[in-house]
Amino acid sequence: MININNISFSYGEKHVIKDFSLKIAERDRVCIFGESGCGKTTLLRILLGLEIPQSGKVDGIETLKPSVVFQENRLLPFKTVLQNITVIGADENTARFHLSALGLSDVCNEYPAKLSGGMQRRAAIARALSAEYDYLVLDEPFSGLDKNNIILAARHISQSLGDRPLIMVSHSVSEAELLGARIINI
Amino acid sequence: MKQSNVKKILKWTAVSLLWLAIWQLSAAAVGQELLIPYPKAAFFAFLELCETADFWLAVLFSMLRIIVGYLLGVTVGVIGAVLSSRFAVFKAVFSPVLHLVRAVPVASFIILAFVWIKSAYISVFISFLMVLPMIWSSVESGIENIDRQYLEMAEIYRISPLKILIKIKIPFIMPSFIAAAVSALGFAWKSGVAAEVICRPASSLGRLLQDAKLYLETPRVFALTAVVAVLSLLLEIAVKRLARRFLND
Repeated sequence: MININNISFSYGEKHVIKDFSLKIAERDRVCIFGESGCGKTTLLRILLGLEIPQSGKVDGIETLKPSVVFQENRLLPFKTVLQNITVIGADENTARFHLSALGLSDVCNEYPAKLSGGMQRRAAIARALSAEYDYLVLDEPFSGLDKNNIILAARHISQSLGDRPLIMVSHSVSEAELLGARIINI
Repeated sequence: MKQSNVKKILKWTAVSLLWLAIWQLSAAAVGQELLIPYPKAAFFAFLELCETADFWLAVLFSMLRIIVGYLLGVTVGVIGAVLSSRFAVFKAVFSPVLHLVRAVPVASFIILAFVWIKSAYISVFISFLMVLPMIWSSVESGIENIDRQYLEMAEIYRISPLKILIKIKIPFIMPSFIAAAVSALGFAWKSGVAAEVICRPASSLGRLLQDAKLYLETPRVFALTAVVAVLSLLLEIAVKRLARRFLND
């Protein structure tokens, strides 16, 4: 279980998270909702261990391996789609499986610059799912995807995730519903 | 042969012929071989040079000295850049030195080096000195400009530091490093030969150039200058090819 206890975070004078608490159990899927700039992405960064809260703490993530789809795709421009996945230590067959499930089997050996924005997004999702992980973090995972691809990607994420917890940020209730995530307002 | 290659050769030949014609016309207009020799005279001077062992020894040793200086500059430049980007104190200590090396005219360094070290090693030292700040600055800025986003990703997936270096950092730095390495090669040649001209070490193109100037053998000066330019061009092509192969890998 991941236990977020009264965390607060500020960038200089600007407080973005104040006394926020949340318990995320196994099989739990949560979608963080809130206005722009209210600290949703910061919360995800704290859960990934990239930021440390100024007060409060997060228990339970020390021994767990996260996997993530960032707000940006973060695909290395000088590596092919497949190499972008194997570089994080993922197995090639697993990578091919997820790429194929997300409709990218034909572009495994293409460089990110050759792909459309939607394809790059799906490649980033395939990378996150190919990693060995204990919990999944998604920051606006479906941005840039059309309706059909949102459904395809959500279904595949849901199936791959199994019992592992999911923490996501989205502005869309329907996206949260597609992944079966409960909504938490920050 | 590919059509694009044929086009490239034709274009190159046409441009070369145009400049040869300009040279020929200039020589005819001036009418004094001492000032501007005809291309034919320079070519015959080159053939004469080719018949002497001194010339080939000079080519060999000049290349050797300049390449050694260049490689030293590249190696120390890369190491310095890595240390500078990692340790603020190191950067603070060495950045004024780099500024100084860039600002001081190469002739001053050549004259100083002439006082300090044997003439045979001056072109090594001068090439090294010219290459060092170029490589250092470009690699350092390459390291500093690596997007943090990719390093965060590597951190999350617990990619080993060695793998991060090889698979992420080096490929990001490579384009700026290669651009600097190619232009530094030209500088190494120019400054290295200039050092040889001033210090006249045995078996060097610079010494042959200086001798030709002293004996007013202008066609020979032109021929030697062309040799220096062609050797620089060939080395530049070799470095570019090596770099391309590395980038494709």
